[in-house]
Amino acid sequence: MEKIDRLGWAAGVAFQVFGLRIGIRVGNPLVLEAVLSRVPAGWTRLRSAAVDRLYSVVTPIIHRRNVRHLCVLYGDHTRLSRTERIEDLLDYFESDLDLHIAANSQDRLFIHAGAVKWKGHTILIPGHSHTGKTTLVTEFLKSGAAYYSDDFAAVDHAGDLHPYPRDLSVRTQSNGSERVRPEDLGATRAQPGPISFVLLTEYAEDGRWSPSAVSRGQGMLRLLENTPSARKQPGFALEVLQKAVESAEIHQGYRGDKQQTVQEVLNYLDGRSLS
Amino acid sequence: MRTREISDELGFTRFKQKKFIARKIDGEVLLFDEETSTAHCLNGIAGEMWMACKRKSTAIEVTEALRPKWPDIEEEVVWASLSQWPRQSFWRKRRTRKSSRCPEGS
Repeated sequence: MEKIDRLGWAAGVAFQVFGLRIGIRVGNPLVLEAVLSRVPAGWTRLRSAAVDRLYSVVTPIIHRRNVRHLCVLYGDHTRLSRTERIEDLLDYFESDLDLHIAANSQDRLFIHAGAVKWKGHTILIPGHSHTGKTTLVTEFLKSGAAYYSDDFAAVDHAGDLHPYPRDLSVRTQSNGSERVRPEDLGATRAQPGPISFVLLTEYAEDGRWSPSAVSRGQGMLRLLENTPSARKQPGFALEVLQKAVESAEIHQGYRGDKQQTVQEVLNYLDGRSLS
Repeated sequence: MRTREISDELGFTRFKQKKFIARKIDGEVLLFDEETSTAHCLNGIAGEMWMACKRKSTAIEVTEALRPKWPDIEEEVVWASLSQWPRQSFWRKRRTRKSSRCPEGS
């Protein structure tokens, strides 16, 4: 850490987000705004410089010919990313900050899940990366659902779901990702509410959505798998998850075509009255 | 008819639940092991058996605790279940003392 401290820092900020104290320092003051733009909305500045996690961003100031100019991101004393493109560094920062918040926050319990709202029904789609959460969330939004999140669902102490202030991160064919605002898909942002439906699903080539109901206990097991803070604070995770699934129906099954799956889920929910 | 060996196992082998974070939900019991960061979901009867081992209990005592909900359950079945489960580290099994009874007929 001392070596990094000696690099010479031009600007920095300490802030609080979801109950965690985070610091950012940069060698080039022009970069600070870009880094801050990647922090989830709702953060507040701190007067004290004492933080739980400190990000340090090194960017080249003087450009010399025939020299690779690298941007480097540190999380505390660990080098997280070294790249020529500042955009890649910002993406890495955003992803690491999200994970840090999800694993450590006690303000909210974060579940690796997409979440949408359809006519009063709150639908949670837990799953690890690359299991098609964003694909399903996008399809739900195109069908008229409101948006909570496509990667992390934030649950409060009473078990109610809140929107996580991030746009959708849609994978491109070149294996990159692009940001899509839910409003661009015609969707609105959903209001907090209790979880009414949990979809435990993953894509299978020959799959057709034909789910079976699973018990809340089994459902909680699957949610725990997708709760980054479960190892550090299992008591908190179990307490909140139990409240979160209290009035939820949990369905499990493979899915094939995304449109068919979403339409069948929406038809099912339309046939049910709100509890 | 039971052999003396089985009777001894039922009466003297005691089971004590391991320390887990436990949550009861719709009749099932969710257990989280902080040492290994693993979670298990026990169904209704397995959950009741685990709860009955809050203090060191024999298979006979656990069976008594289950009888109000499952009147036909047999002590041997409970003992067999309890004896298998230590492999999954749900509880610790300990034989408290040896039988002091004389062999039948002697």
